[in-house]
Amino acid sequence: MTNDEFKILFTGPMGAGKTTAITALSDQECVSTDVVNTDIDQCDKEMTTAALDYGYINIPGGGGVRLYGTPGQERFRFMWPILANNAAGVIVLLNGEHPDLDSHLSVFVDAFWEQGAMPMVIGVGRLASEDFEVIERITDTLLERHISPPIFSVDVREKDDVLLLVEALLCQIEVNEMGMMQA
Amino acid sequence: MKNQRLGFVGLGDDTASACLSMLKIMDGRSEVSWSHSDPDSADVLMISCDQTDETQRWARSDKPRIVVYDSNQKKPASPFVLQHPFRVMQLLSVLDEVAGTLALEGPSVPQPHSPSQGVVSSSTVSNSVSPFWLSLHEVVNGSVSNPAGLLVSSSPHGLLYFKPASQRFYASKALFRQLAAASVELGPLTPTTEVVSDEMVACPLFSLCWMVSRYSATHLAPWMNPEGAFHLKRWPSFGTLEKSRTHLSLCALMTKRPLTREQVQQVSHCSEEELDRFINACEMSDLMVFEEAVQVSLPQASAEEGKGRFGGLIKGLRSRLGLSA
Repeated sequence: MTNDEFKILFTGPMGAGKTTAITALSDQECVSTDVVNTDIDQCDKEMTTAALDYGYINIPGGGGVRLYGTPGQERFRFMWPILANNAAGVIVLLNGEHPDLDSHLSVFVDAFWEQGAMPMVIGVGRLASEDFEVIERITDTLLERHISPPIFSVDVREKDDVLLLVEALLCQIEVNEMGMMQA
Repeated sequence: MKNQRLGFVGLGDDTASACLSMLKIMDGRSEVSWSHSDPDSADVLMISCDQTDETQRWARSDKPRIVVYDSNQKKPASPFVLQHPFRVMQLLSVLDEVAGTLALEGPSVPQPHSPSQGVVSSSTVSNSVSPFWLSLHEVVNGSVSNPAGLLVSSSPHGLLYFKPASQRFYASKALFRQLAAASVELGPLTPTTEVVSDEMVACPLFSLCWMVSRYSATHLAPWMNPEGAFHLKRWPSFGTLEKSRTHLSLCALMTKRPLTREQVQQVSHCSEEELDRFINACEMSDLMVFEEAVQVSLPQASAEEGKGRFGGLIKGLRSRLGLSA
């Protein structure tokens, strides 16, 4: 990664929409490393990411933003720290109607929170528009552990929702930058 | 603004000290300017209900009296009373009532105090918040006898119910749409034995606070010190909050460290009215930590896109994605 680039990481369980979100933002066709999904119980789709998804946003005047998506299955979690290295921030995507939502929340937040050092945003998909119970439950669960990232109900098929997650992340990165300059 | 002097008689040191702090917080936010003085030169007395020689002597004075009694004591039969311990809003409320009485008819024959129909007196409209906002403030701060019960506020567009225990509002979808879209006059919350109908939908406390703060609390609420520092406990629920860059920036800034309003404005470029509205809604939803006096260093406005490690890239990315404010 060069000095005129930075990295945003997308993570979350299989089927949460990481590839969709990266595709929505990327200027080039998203590079995926799909394999046949052998865990249909977790997510009913044919293919899933084994190593990474990759997209890129060109910034006018030079430079760009690398978008990485982690594999969603825990058996590939050895890839997570590799992809998280030097990331400016992480967007955690969750499936709000999945029966293992609480477990997913714990696994992915634990893996990337880093005591709040890395800016994080959580996007919860597949919720009804007036369903704030799930968001509040997630908020309370994380607060009990003194973790308080912004949490949004999103539909990653809508580009505006993906942009909202990115904007919330950028705002946090900027504030972190202020702290760095102050030190 | 009219000046009035308040004298303390027979109050404990802690109560007197708390009152002095409250008077400072209220400065400029009450209908009159209140200052402390000795009882002889005071316009109004704040007097303990304990029967001592001193209190009995001052009880015979012609000056209006606010009688302070403890929760384990019988409520005094006096026009103006305060149950100890009390909060700044309650002090402000009773002082405004006293001031109103003095202005209307002089100090000799104050009107009897009548318990408000609402949680707080609807006459206690401060300079910046509505009666609904005042009553909600009292409720969320515990001034409701039955938190599991239901409260109701009336409006020209229908009834709005609030259940303190669950921090949920209930109303018709049409009323919520109206509340979000336009100014709706809401009456103070009052206890009710009615039940929420099945057709009504729920709305979380913060969402409702954000909606109505636009016309109910556009300036910093009088119970908050405008000179203090504000720290957001966590990001609010964005269910109905406008997802603008301004609000996201405010959340990111204020969850990171305590900041004064001036500092937040300097870094975020948010307007004073919008910032106050944001603080009001967060405070009402118990998301805001308030620090009276704190040495807070201002984050360098780095901010100033381009200066940080990612500053220039973020500016370019925002422009590229159409996110620029």
